Amino acid sequence: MNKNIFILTHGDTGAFETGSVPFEVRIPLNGHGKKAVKKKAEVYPGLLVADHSNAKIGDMHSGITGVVTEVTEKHVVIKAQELAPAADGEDPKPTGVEPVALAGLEGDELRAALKGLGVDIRPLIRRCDLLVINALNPEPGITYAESMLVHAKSTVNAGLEMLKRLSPASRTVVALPSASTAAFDGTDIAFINPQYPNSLDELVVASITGKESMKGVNVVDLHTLYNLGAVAESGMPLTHTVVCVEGRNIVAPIGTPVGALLKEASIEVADGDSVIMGGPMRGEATGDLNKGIAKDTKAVFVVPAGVFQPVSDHACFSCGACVQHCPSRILPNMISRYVEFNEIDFCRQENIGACIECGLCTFYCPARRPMLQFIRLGKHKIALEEAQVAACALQVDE
Amino acid sequence: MAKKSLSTAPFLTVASAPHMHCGTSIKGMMSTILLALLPAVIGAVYWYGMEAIRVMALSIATAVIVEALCSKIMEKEVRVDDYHAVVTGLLFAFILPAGAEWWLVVSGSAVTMVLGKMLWGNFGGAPISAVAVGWAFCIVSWPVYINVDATMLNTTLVNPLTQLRYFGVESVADASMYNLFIGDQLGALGAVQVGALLLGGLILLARRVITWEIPVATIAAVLITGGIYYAIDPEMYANPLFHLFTGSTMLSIFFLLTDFTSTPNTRGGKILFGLMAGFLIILIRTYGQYPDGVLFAVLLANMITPLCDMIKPKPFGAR
Repeated sequence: MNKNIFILTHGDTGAFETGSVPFEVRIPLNGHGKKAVKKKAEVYPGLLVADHSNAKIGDMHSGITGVVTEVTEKHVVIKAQELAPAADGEDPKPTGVEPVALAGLEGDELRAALKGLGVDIRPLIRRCDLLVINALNPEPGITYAESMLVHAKSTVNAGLEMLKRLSPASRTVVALPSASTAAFDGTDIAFINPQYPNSLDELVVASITGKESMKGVNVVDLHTLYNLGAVAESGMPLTHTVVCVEGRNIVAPIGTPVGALLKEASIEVADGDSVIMGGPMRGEATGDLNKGIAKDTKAVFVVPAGVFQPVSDHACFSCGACVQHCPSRILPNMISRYVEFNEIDFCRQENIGACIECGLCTFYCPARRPMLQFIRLGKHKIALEEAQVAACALQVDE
Repeated sequence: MAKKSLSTAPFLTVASAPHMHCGTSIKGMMSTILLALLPAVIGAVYWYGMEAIRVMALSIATAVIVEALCSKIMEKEVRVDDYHAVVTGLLFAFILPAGAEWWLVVSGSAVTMVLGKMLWGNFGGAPISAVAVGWAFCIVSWPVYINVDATMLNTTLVNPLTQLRYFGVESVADASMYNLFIGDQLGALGAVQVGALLLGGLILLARRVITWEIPVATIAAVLITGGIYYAIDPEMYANPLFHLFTGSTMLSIFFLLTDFTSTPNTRGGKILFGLMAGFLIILIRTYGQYPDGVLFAVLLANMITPLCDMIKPKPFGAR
């Protein structure tokens, strides 16, 4: 396999397709404590489904018309169906929500309104001096970025305007793939060599500022900006997002089962295949085709069984391929061994924290060791240990 | 429950990210190394005939059987199908004279696998080059039987290294570099196929099984150190190219010093390692007791691998 698969520019792939209405949506919840709907409730597009107690995490809304069939901690399932007409003597049932006028709002009011419309504002209002819009396709195989800058430019612009109102940054830079012709009024542009892993936030910032530090910089990716723009443009709740299904960009209701999306793109899934939510390098494999897409699901991929060797428990034989390709200039071979033997202090010594989790070490490992998984495990163990130490320190203080 | 229209939901495989792979495998790398060794095998057969085939076949068979047996005894998965033992056995045969006794080949190859590989655990545990271990074992135990000049009496080929050692530099002054390059010299059966090994090394570089740092640094060090001696007194010391084209130098540069497990991984470390190895090759040849001490240089260079690995770039964010 050659290096061309890491090229992140695919040209304009046309306007986004609008998917057909799925038979059900499975709206994923992330600690949304207050469910606004009960089982058997009738819902319509834009209706609030679940509320989050944190003022910086967006609420969830239904994207389709239907009936709630299941409410759990993890998700709300809505079955698509026509609602029964209103009985005689009742008011006609509502079919949609009124848009919120965002233009006149400022500060806390604006934030509260956006939260109510389903926008996660925590990553948008982070304290920073420099705001970077990462407008590259995040991972190999994902194709929405360039089309978005052409066919959904007004949405992106609206998102950018809104983001500038929200963010405390004094300067905004849009990172574009080199040779891109997109222009933004009143915003600086930086060109990035469109080759994975250059699209990762840390490397984009390093390329723009020349410093390998995220201090005082906030990065917002194009997908988030698009979602924000959709809300800012219409004043309607965030119910749809764009998902790249094996290269085809489909606008789908949030919560659409991945199986329905794959069917939409006429991709067959057989026993033993992997279905990946997110990019092929950093995404997560799901075991359930009914799992609904989240607001930030950028892509869905299918890896047929047998295309790649499965990971093995083979010992590292120090071929050095990971060291050679690591953009963080750390030694993944040693770190993965230390994690295997639970030598957490040595992991720290080898700067495990500098890993930006691009996945190239695993990609190049001839022994098929799950390097990225080892590194994530090591980071997790370090975090646990630090939490324990902090807890002990608190006890001593008391 | 919602009516499931995806009734025949397939069983999906879940795995950790990333979900792509470049397609390399240990078996693939070993196959490439075997391919790269093929020209030297042909050269060995051309110069030494069936004797060379006998030694190579015996060594490979022993290495494979010993690895399988050891894996069984150690209750580990038998992984001889990755061709790793084949490569090790063939490389060990390459440093033996074509006239080596069968018991020398068998015991040497077995020691190579046991002491050089299996005792260290999984493939990847050995801190030293297995082939050099096997060679050191043999040359200390049976110095006569592994001596090329003692075992290859019925040949017209001349061993340039013993000439240099015992008859001085004027005896090799008229040695043609071209003849040395095509393998027209007496020596270990594969190691002296200099041109073929160089071709194999280029194949490895092109297929990215090895990187350029160690070969380039070693060649540079051999030429520079050899050049210094040559500049001091051409009447006493041989031409640096002579060192590059004789004995096991070329084999070591492309196949032993670039062995995965026993060499550094960082770029700086690799370069220092290569320079050290090249320096040691000339030093051992100039002052050592053995005419061709390249494999001792390999062993000694392996010793500094952990130190070389301490030369690493600053991680992301620390610059």
